[in-house]
Amino acid sequence: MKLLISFLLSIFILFSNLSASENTQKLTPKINNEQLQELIKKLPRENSVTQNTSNEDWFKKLRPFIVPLLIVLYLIFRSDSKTEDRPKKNTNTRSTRSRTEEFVKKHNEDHKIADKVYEDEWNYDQQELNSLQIKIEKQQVESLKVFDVMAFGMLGFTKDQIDQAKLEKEEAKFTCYVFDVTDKDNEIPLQGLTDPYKDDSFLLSSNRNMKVGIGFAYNEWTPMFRFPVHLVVPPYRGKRKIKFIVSATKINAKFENGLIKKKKDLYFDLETIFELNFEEPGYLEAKEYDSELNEKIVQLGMALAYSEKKINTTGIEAIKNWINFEVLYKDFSSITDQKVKYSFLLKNTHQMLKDNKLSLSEIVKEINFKSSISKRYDAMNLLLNIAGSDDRLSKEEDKLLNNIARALELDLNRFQEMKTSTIANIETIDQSDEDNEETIFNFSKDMTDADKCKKLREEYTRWNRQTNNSNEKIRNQARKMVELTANLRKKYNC
Amino acid sequence: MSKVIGIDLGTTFSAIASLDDLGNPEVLASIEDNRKITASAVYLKDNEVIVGDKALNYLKDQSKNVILQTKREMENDVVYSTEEGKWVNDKNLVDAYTPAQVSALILKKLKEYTNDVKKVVITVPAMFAEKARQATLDAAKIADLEVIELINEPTAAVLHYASLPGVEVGGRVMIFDLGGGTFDVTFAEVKNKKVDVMTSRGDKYLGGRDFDKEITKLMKKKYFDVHNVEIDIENNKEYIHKAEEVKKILSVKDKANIEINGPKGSQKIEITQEEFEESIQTYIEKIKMLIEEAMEASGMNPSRINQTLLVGGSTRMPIITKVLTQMMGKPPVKGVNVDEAVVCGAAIYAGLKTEKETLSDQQQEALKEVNLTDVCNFYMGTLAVINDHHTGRRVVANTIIIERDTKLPVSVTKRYTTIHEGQEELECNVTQSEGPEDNKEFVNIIHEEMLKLPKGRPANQPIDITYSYDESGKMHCMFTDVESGNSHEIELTPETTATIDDAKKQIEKISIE
Repeated sequence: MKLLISFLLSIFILFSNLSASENTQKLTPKINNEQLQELIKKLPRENSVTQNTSNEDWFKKLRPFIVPLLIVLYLIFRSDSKTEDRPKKNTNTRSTRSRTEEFVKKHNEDHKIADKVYEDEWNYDQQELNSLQIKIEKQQVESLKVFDVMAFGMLGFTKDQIDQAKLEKEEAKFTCYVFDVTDKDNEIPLQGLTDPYKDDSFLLSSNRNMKVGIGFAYNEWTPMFRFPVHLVVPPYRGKRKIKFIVSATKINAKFENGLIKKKKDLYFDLETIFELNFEEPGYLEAKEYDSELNEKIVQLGMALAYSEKKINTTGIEAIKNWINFEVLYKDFSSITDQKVKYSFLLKNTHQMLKDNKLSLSEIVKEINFKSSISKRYDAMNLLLNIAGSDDRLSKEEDKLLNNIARALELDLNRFQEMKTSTIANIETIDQSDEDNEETIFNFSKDMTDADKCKKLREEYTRWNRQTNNSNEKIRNQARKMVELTANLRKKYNC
Repeated sequence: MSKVIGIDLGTTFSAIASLDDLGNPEVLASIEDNRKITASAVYLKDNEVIVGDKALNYLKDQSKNVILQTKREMENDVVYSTEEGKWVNDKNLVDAYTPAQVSALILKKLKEYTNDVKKVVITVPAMFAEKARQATLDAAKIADLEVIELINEPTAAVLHYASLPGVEVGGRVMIFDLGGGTFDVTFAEVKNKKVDVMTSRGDKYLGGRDFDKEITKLMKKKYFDVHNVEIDIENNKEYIHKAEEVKKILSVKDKANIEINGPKGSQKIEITQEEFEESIQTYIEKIKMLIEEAMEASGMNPSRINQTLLVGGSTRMPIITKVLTQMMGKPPVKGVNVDEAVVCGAAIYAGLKTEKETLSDQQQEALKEVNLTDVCNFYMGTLAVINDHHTGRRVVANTIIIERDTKLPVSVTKRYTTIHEGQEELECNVTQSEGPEDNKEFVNIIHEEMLKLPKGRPANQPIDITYSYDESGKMHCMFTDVESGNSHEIELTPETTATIDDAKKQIEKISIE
């Protein structure tokens, strides 16, 4: 049976390839799947699917025969393809790539697959499917954790709704908003500050236009929307009930506070609730903590600027700039009061540092409790700016940076990347003793010589790439770092 | 009929080869001294220029006028000042020469070794950045040579190895190319005469010249041990040249003697092979790290590598064989002239890329089974606004369009969107990097220009960016505004014809002896 099916499939593929090759002269690529095209508009970037337009007519003619065949083939081969061994790709070298970019790419690929299946299955036996349901699944997509809004069942558009959709290129808009419903009487929409997961009022949402028609369905659980986990931030920490609402609407439907403005624009909506144990401060808590947190970050910065037991004045300038942008310029109404407050804070912290009375562990503990992980990366950015502000990285600064990165529970690889950027832009790295060479590469005490050799090779790779940099300063620093890694490898007999 | 020519434009030596009537590469010798390799040295004074080994004779008395290691400067915005005797950043200097111009003088010299040279293939290190490649093309233009293609040195070398009748090369091979100024390591699959490159890694500051410098440091130390006087010979071109002689001796003998003239008189010193090998350990570590990195990138390990092929004069040093045998578990293949492998491969490649009708039947027969598939040695991308996953902030970052080690030819389209409502311009950047960098500081922007967009449109308008490498290895970049259909192709040619003409005029003023 499989042989016969494979034969039929081969003929089909052969015909479609021939048809494609006849039209390769067309330069302007067109996206075959309109839903995907609409989705793409909402996303920052992705791979495009190029397909020739004239295939469409040909495809339409054969469609009644092809679609059932494809469905059968898809169902037969689906399980096989899942178990197919794929060559392992080396992911080590991709660590510096933006995970968000990777995610968006994967997201779009998934949608392409989902949409293809969806489109091919318009003719599926409708009697076997229930009406549309949604559920939430937490998934790991490469290095990024995501919440998938999974859909299954008939879309269930009425004839009137289909008629309306026909006026809008047979499309409907599907929008997903996210609410915290822990308190039933006070449903709070979650905030969204990041494209493409935000609406005009900065609420967490995602939307896409899709072709709709009679009998359109998801015939298996399929991701309909996908939200990176780090963007789903409830108002408070702890166990929270999170509701996802998917609304199918007219194309130009508007939303306000996550709810549709005009009821007549709504075709239908669906919701699902799941429990989230959120360990970081929620966004409302973060707002409450914001002021305290900024003070603690400034104190941490001061400690770094004082790491050589004398104040690094350029470091203080970096702290002042940070205060300007993160505090003063955000609320001009209180600028004078805040200036006075931070002026005192700087002075007092300096005195505490001189008297050896500032407890860094207490500060870090408080930051960890009161901040989101992204705020901690922000804090580390400030610290690195302070460290590099005088064009020199001292041994004390470097050690303190490494310790703080560990204490703030940052991803150490990411931290090392951030530090690389700082090191690349400074003139001098303090190499007063051999010990400091190892501090630069953030060796931990539990590392074996073999671990160190591996780490040094990674650092060599990282810096050797920059010996080609068009920026002379970075190029020269890279050459120094390459020498340093090679010398240390010699030391460890790698 | 013009000849099929390949040129190896090296850091210390250069060579030119053509295909003989039977389709075998033949290295052409200098008419003056019948030598097959020519020193990449240029003596420049007033309107006189001497290229090759003779230029080295001026190192003692007029070292400022002798230009060495030009290849290492190809990617830099520098000029050679004969007054200062070094490469300087001041582009406004009169009577100063760009790296492309100096390289053009070397190419012109090589051109004299044969008649009817018009079209050539020139070799470059695998890790040569786009800017350095363009400078090489400029050098060829100034020298009135039409470049069919540039080919990576290790790729050329493996083509030569694969085509050699007496040497059996097959399976997965490592091409270890340690020249005068650069080091490349390449992994490739060779089946009969078909070469499939997998990956390359390299260091542009690792080569014979660095080892020579280490020898000058040993000389300095030994003189100091005897006379307690510091002498400045590390940057002395004459002593660097002498150090090279010492290195050559130490490649075949356990020790070498040299006489040094210092402020306290002449002193004869001895350098042992052991001392020399100890002094270059840092470079050896770099070599080992690059091999490890290349193996990791191509999913290889020593047991899966069938052969190690040596290329470049510096591979004659015994320590190289020692290290490679230790790392790979078997000794490298010997028996090929390591100085000529690259230029011979270039000539073969020139034959492959030349119109069939210009080749003789025997040449066509010799080349009919030769085939080469190369890879993109860099990540090619563009700058875009993305959301930083860690901080949640919007940042301008590098995004990759063509991945490193992608087989050529290739064409990749990625879709981006405009940011603002009413956005009327788009900054088109083409970036190049050796790693998958997102930090914009860590990539080289090899081209940037503005693309005009239609007025009055909402945000998020799709823009398709297509990067392609054609069969000849030339890159094309197309930015398309999807909605309006407006496309803009970017020309990756930094030098204008006017600049080339000026450079040519300046070179024509001086005469090659």
